[in-house]
Amino acid sequence: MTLKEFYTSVGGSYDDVMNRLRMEKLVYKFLFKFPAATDYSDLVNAVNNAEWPDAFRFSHNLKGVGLNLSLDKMAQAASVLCEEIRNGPPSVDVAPMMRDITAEYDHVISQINLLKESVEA
Amino acid sequence: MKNYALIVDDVDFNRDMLSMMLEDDFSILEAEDGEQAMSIMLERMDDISVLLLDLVMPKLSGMDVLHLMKEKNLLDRFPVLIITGESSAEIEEQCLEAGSSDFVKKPFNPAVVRQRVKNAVALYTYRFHLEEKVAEQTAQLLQQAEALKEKNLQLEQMNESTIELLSDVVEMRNMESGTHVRRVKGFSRILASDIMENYPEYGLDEHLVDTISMASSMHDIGKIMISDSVLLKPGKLTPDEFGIIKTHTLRGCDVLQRSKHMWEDDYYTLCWQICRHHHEKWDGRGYPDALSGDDIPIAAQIVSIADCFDALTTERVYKKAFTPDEAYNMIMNNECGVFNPKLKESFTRCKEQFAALAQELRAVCN
Repeated sequence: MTLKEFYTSVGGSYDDVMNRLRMEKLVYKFLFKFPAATDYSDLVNAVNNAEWPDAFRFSHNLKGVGLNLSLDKMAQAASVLCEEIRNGPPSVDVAPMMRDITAEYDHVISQINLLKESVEA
Repeated sequence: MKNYALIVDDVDFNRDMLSMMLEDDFSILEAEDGEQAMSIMLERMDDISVLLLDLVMPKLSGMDVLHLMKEKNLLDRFPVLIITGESSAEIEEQCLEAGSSDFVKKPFNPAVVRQRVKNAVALYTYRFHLEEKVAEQTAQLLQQAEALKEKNLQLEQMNESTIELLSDVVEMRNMESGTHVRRVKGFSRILASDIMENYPEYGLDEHLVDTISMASSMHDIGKIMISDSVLLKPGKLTPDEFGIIKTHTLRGCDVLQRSKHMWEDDYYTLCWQICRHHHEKWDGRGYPDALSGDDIPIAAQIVSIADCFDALTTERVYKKAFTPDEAYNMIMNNECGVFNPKLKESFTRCKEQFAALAQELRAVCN
């Protein structure tokens, strides 16, 4: 899998990330660091425990990292939840939002693993 | 050496990205929340060149950090760049209002962030140096002002010494007891202070009161030009002799005119007014110019009462000394010519002070 194919697969923007980080080497470096970040699992726990300020912070972090790596679909999914709980508890059921985030996040992680395998091969 | 960039973000992934961008230009310090950032800033404020600050963080938010920095005057020391996933213009405005120098939204472009950081640091460095320069120049100006003040003081002391010397000459020439000038000076000060308090229309202030008191010493300087046979005559003067005595007002002005270069302008003006006009009377029956009312300079009017009171209460070869009460009544009854009603009111208020000073200085003399 090439980096370009990775971005097509996850609904991100290869051109945008290259425009900003300039070198594929750097993009690989940061993409491969992403699975170690705990924001997603922290977010799941915070939502399950209805700890909304923490949930806001973790969804905000996920959105920020997604934006910086041009993982647009994942950033967008995180942003929807982030805005819903920005000022406190949600006014609607956030389960569908969490499902979207999980789907995008899981997909990104699985594609990063494939990318890593391609690079290491 | 002030060359550290402090990166504050709770996501280590973001800190890594920012470190990578800045590590060529700065040594990097990292904090993962606002509390940690504050303690690093307070400990190493002299080392930090720039702060990159996330907004949404645990413990203290980026906005809390900005407010604390303002409280602790840290915003003046180095620039703060907000690096955030927030995109609302309202939050950007709040951050800039709270003192941040710049607001960078994610996703960020490393080259742009690097340049914005450099610009902010350059601007702060320039401002800091400018403030240092201004402080340095202010210190120099203050030093110069201090030196000028000192020079001014020396000049005033020189004026004072010259006046004292000249008035001593007049007293010796006049065979006076030696304290006439000191008493007139003291009476003039008492009267001038009261006028300053009660008659603002005359525009006196502390400085003018001092100057009038000092310049009063010169009122009879013209007497050094009068011949001994007239000035020191023990008996009653003929009308011609009295006419010669009266010229001391004009001759005094000549003496002053010839030494004009020695005086500061305000000293000279007051000395001249006092010298020339201290024998003028409120009703226009004085000399040399027969001025009346407030055409007579206030300094001359003040010294006129002071001089008259002292002459009345001092023994001369041709007359006994009147008591202060007698002298007061004579002045109030216009027996020595007519004085300004306001000055007479002032004189009434100061009557006791006049008597006390007269007694004190005569005791010193005896």
